[in-house]
Amino acid sequence: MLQYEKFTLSNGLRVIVNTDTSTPLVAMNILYEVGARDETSDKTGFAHLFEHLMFGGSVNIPNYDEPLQMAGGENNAFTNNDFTNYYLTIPVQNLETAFWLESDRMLSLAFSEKSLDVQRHVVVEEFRQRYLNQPYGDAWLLLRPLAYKTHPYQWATIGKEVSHIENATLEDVKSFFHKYYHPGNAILTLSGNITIETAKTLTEKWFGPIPAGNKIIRNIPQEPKQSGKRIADETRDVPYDSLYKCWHCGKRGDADFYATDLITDVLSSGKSSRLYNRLVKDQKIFTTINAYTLGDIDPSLIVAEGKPAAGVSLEQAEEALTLEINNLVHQAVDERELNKVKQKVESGLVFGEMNHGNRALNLAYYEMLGDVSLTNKQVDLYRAVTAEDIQKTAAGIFTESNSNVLFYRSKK
Amino acid sequence: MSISRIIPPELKIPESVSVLQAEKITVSNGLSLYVINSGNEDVVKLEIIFPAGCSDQMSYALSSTCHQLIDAGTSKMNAQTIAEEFDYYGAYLQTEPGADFKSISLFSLSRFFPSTLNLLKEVMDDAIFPESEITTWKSRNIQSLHVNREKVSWLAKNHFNASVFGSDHPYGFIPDEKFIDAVTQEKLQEFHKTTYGLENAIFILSGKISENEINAVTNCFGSTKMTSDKQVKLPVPAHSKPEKLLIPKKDSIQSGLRIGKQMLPKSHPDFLKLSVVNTILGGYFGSRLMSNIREDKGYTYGIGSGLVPYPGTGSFFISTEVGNDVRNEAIKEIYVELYRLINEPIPQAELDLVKNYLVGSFQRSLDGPFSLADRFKGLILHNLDYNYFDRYLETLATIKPEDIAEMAAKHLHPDSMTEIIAG
Repeated sequence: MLQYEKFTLSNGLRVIVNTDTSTPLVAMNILYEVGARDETSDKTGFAHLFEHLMFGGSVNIPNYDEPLQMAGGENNAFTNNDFTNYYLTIPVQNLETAFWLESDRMLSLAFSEKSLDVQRHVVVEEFRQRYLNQPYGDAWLLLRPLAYKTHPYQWATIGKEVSHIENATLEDVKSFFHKYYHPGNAILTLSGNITIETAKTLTEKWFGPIPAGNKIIRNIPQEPKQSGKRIADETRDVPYDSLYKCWHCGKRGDADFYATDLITDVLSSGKSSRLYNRLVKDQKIFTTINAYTLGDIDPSLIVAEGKPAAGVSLEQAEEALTLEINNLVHQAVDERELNKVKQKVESGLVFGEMNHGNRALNLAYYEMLGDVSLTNKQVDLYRAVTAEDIQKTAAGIFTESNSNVLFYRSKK
Repeated sequence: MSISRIIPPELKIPESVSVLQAEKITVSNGLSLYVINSGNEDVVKLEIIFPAGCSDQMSYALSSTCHQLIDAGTSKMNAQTIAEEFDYYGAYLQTEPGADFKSISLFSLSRFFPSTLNLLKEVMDDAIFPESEITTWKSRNIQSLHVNREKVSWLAKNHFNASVFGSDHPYGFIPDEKFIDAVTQEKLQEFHKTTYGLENAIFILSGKISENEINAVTNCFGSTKMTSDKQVKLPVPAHSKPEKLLIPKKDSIQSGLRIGKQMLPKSHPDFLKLSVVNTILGGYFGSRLMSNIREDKGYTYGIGSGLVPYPGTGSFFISTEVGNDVRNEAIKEIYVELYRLINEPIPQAELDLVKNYLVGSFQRSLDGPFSLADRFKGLILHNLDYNYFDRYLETLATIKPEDIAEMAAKHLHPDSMTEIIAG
């Protein structure tokens, strides 16, 4: 059980605090509710590029990193399709430095032309390093537009193409900031050696004066139900074929999310999981195979990806995978198997809570989903899933007309 | 309330850092058991470290394969049953093969620890390395080897180690088909027999530890006969001449760079100062390499440097991936930064920043029971004790700009560097 308290400033900033006096550190997490799904199709990759620019100096402080390092702190950030997250840890003595830095960049950025110019290059190199110059690195750049025809999940957070990043202007940066980076669209969480009183005093002092922004009205085009199987066939200079198959599933906030997540655990969590034992070890169809759900805010995907064994074609591999997955539809999982995946989830949640940074992120994440108290309800929500729930959810997801297949072929 | 956003809040740097030390527990059969009791969650980690040195690359390959397949089956349970059992308790194993040591860690919820521990013991004692598991392991490893060879960072890293430590030393190991093909059940069984003796093993138990967890360990291992393995001493790696190598990777749009050399062991008197120099150069986000090559020039997504300590030696490296179009400029700037460390005294403000940052990092590295256990392991495996931490804080408090230049001149001269380019 994670103890926490929540309060909201008059400008709309939500603040959640978990106190743990056994550590000399404090973790601070600021989540902005903006991600790649908020981009338009001609300016993709922007939320992520913007994340880089948040380190390029703010209105009163020319450099973000230096003062934080001077205070013994460490920080980083990530962007995904739904949100952008900034996090740091700092010795408690210098906690105020974190408030000073984070509040100033929420107030306003420096909007420097040089920073934009450099970060465009950095992000283009990131695009190359992680997506273009890695074997199979562009698989998601192919899979997303196959699975999504309407929803902005059709592009990855890095963007559709390098040119979108290269063409970003300072005007784009400014309007993005004013729209999304304000207190009402942010969640500030703290975990570690900080009392609720200190948290209230410091947030009021540093974040209180930041003007409230305009409420964001989202009009994200939703994906219509898929009505037929889609197949993409691509050839690349890679040593082996690789298979990607995905199905549309519900969103993170749906009641059946927990069944959906356990489905992928039954399939592929750990060395006792079904896909590994049946398809890799027994039938020797694959050498590696993995399945997971993305758990996005809008309707999401279940994905299976694997590399066929020597002499097995992608088509045969897909058939074997589909047969195995359909077992979940035809037959209820037995109690022991279900208990096993639940216990594994519970263990993962407990181990995850050991880290203050994770705690702060979890609190912010569940608050974003609409209810911070979900943090302490996860184990029970997973525990409540029945074998029937699994079977019913699987039946709703695993139909061929709801599936998208990427045959990623080796040139060799 | 009116506040100044221009003036930074006042800083306080902690002068001392409290370290919860591992406690040695006496076990009747002489087992080396250390305990770190910390944290609020009901979880336990037990790491068992075997000092199983390898004399050459082939024995390193076999020893590490043996270790990776330790949970692949016993005379009573097949691999799936073993995995089912651990998974059922939500527990997991982590194996770390190394050329000097190999270690196995069990992570478990406290309430299941006695059961998961017994399971671990049974798995380790009675491992049989079934043929079918070896076959699966081989095909998976061949495949991942071929995929890795497509990655410029993998190529640069492996060829760097081979160049610096010699292509027949375990530290210079480059994964290859010949090592995978050589694996047989018989050889794995032999390594199993000769590298898991408890006489020289080190047990580190961390988490929320009570009598119950300690008793679980002593009940499980306390009456086991202590056997001693033949202690293999690693050959001392030759100090190779610096060289420049190009590992061709056709159609690559970026190049992997790795520049560095063989370096001091952790126990060397210069090591602590050198670790500060390394941080300045490439050991944190605001480092000189990052500031110059990423934040000023935009040549790369990331660049960094590091020190890798081994018991008797170590390595220093700078690594990055850069676009082919700016590769030469990036290399030039790397050397500019090395010369700058040697020739220009570091501004006091920059040194202060790095010192403060490192005190904070040191605190972070001690946060939580598993971090404390890792730090303790980093001492004991290098024959160091907790005084090392005092010396570290002392070094941070007293190091001067002249020390930085002196260390850089002594250990990081560009002419002494090996340079690997993959791309």
